[in-house]
Amino acid sequence: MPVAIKSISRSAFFDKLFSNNNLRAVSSLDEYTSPLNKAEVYHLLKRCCYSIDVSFANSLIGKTAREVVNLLINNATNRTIPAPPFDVNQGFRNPQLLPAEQYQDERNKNLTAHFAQNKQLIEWWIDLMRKDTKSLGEKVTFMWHSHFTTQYEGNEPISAQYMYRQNQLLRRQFLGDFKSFLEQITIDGAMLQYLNGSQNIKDAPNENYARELFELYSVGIGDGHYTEDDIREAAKVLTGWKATHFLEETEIYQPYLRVNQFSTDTKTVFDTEFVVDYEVNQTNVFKNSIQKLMQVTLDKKGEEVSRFIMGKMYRAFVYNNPDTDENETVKELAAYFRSNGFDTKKALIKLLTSQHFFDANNHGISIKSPLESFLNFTAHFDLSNEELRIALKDYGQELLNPPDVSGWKGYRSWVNTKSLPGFIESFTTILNSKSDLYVGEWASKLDNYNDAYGLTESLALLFFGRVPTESRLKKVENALLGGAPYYEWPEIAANKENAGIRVKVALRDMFKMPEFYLI
Amino acid sequence: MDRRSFIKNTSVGLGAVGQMRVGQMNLSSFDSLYQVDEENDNILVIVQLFGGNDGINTIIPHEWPDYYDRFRPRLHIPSDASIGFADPKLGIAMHPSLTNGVNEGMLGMYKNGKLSVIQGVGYQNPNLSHFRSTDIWFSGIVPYNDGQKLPTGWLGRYFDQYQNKELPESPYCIHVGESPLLLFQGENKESAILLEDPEELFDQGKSVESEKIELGEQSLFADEFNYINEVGVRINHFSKSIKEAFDRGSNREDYQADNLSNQMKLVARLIDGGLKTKVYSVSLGGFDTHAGQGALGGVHSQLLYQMSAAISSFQSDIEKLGHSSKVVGITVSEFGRRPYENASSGTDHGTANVMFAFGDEVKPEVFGSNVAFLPFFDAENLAYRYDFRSIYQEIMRTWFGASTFLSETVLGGKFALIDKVGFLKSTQPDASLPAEPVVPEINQDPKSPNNPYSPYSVTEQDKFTAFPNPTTDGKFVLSMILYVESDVAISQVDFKGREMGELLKKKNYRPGSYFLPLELRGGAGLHILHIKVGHRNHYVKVMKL
Repeated sequence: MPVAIKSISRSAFFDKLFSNNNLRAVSSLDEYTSPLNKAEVYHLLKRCCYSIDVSFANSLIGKTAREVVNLLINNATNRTIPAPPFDVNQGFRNPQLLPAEQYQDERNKNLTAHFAQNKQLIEWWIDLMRKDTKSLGEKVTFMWHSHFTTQYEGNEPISAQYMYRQNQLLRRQFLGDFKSFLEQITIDGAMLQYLNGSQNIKDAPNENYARELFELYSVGIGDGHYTEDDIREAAKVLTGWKATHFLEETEIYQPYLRVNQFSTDTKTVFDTEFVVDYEVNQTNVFKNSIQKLMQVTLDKKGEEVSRFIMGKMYRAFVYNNPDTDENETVKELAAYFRSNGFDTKKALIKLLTSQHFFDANNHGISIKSPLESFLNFTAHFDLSNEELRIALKDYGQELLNPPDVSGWKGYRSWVNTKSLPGFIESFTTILNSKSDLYVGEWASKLDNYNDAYGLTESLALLFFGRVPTESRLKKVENALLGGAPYYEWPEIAANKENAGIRVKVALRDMFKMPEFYLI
Repeated sequence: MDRRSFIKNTSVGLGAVGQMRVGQMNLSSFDSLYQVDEENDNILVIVQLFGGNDGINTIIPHEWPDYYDRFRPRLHIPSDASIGFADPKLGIAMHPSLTNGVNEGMLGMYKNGKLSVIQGVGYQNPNLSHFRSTDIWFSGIVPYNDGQKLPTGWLGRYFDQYQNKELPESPYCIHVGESPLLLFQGENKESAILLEDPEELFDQGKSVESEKIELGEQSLFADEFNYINEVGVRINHFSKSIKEAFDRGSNREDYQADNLSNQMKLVARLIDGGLKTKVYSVSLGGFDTHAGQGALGGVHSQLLYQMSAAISSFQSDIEKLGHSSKVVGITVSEFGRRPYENASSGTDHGTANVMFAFGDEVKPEVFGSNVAFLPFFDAENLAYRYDFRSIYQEIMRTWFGASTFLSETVLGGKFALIDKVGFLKSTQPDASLPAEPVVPEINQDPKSPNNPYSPYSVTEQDKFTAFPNPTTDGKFVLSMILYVESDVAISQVDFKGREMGELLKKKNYRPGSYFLPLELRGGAGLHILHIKVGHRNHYVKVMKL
């Protein structure tokens, strides 16, 4: 790589020379069968939920990884999801069908509705994320949202009714057959609009979706993964589908095939011919074109797909460094995914119950996204859903609105010279808005409240990626004590208001510590 | 500033460089290495015009009837309003907004010898996506395909040369803005600090962890911990030198009260305060004028008005402050816009564009003459005359005093100087540099009445031209002009007449001009393309070196 030489500090240099402590997790995906201890439960919950429910966490200690992961999945499938607070079946008038002088007004009316309702939808989703403390449903849903990206605020704003339906699709597909996920997202209304699927017709094939289908949603970028011809031909395979939100047209929000816009040419994708030797109707085309395209993709490019998708899953749940795609665990996981019929549920269970996942060297290594750091913190120090939506937007992670089709860059891009002091300031402001008494009473419910060191450990369990070494934790304890000897803490703690003042000081110190931004 | 040394002087650096690749290009070996100049205090200011500036309405081809009649019937700048500035023979004029600002704005800068106008800057196989094209400009790499990742920026890689034993007093780069740019992303570190308000940064600098924490372990946790720790240390460290420079510096020129002017005012003050930062970037957005671009008085005019005011105040300020001999600036935009206006009174994403360079040390000339002389390379877009990396290379070699070896390392290759002479006064001609990009001779604009090959005006044989020819890697583009709808198939035979296989499966094309990216099979030598158009046969020779 270019001239860069990684800077190596003196002590790290000597560490490297004289010790063999380059700590890496075991790569094995074999099941971790020991009963989970507290740190392991917190590790698992932090990767599966946006915020921690302390009593739920405590109830899991001593269970096996398999038991807990099954519970987190079952809880996800058993949740009832309320409808968002707007008319999800509302249609819109097509401004282009109106006289010229009414065009702009009607268009503005539609856009205003799309923006306002998408904001409601984002806040609705944030609320679901906050309340989901006992399942991995929202983390998985968000993983798919950041994979099958759709921006409501694209070139042409997408109605919240579409975005809601896509969100429902992500929940419906959730974990299971990846092939059917690819089939369904291909004819999802928001996706048809976002990547011009609705404009993809036999006389003017639009390659936008076909390209992203391969590049971003299934096969991934790579030498020899697919050719421009594969994209061109796949676009023709996918011609004719449409969804509409305009009242003047057929059933709104229901994707359908325009039979006469479907290309009946013979196409060749991944060296496989797609012959239209059947009656062209929606059922046949779905089966012989879309389903077949996904089947061919998995048959011919299964290795690439499995590596790509498992790389994403690994980054979502273990370590978000994009360079991990090539690691042995991802390769092993990909092989497992392939040999288990591309079942994402089996793959995620395999990953989350593995020795690799629970290895202490994998605790606290992922960099928190704004979503993770804000929801983790505001589970204890409340912010309204609206304030959260705005904060996430400010930090570049507005839900339903990734920066472009390739999604959020993630990883280290979340912590930079602008955002880091911003986070410190935001969390300080939120904390300062709470009364000393409130903070004291909140702290008094934590484990080991009456022991200064024990209390700092509880705080670290909640907010840090991993509980740090004793010397690092002492720093927080010193802030908590504010010069008082540790044995006087119970006395200070007896007055919740005074305790609140001290806990605030400790937390403000914690905001500055790198561990706070790791998960 | 701490003494910084080039890594190239260390054996470890050479070893690392020797095996590297930038993009997918192999770098030449060490023999191109030559001694670098003494490190200097020169400063670069980059003005980003986000969205794709409409170069044709910035430097106007005002004696070109097509501009008014065909390309911009609604969006042209009226001839009597545009401002002639260069040799009248060129037939170009400035948008009147460029006279806005102190001393007649950017027009005044040209008159006073402080402005270069470089027409037709772009790159091969242009990408028309904002994101991708911005990434291409930032990375300084023209990818072979859309899939190639562009993880680092050219300035990030340039500043990767410095080993970060201790932080320098001043940051290498400052981006006046909110979000990190790929431009400054190096292999392992970012070379820029994000800055909006020095006072705020200073306060924030006090709020972060300011000490480097030694965890004493090598692990993934330590990698990420150290990364976050270093972000904090850098903010704390640099916030002090930035604040000091801000307090020490001043402005001596008035600026317009808008965002870009405020950004440039801050940059001038930091330079005056003695900050040793090498690169500053500022930005103005809103150039994506797909709809309602407007002619005089429209959105685009407003944007140019702001740009001219900001740049001219900055130049005057930096002159009055006595630093102008060491500061040059360039404007950068991800692409130009198409000559033909669209149906929504706007212009769509295009290709080659105008670029400005400013400062005491730039040549006050117009390079690349008039865009009217640039042919269309496809049915809608202008060919380019200068590769944007030529400008980056010249900045590194002439302005920063970098060796050719280093600039080649950063850019993955060598590039021609602008018109073989370069846009900076102190640039020396260099015969070892490759030739300039070839501007195609054929105008592919299908609607041009002056296009002798236009299917609208001529009936004749279909035309096929391969370029580059000879090709070094077997890749080439076949330009194809069809006058009748036909089935086209292309196969390859070698000079002995052996069939080498199919390069293009039979496919139906409507009349028009096309570019077909193709790749030769087989090794070096002369190859013959057998092009079947309906029942007619065409043969084109292509040489692979």
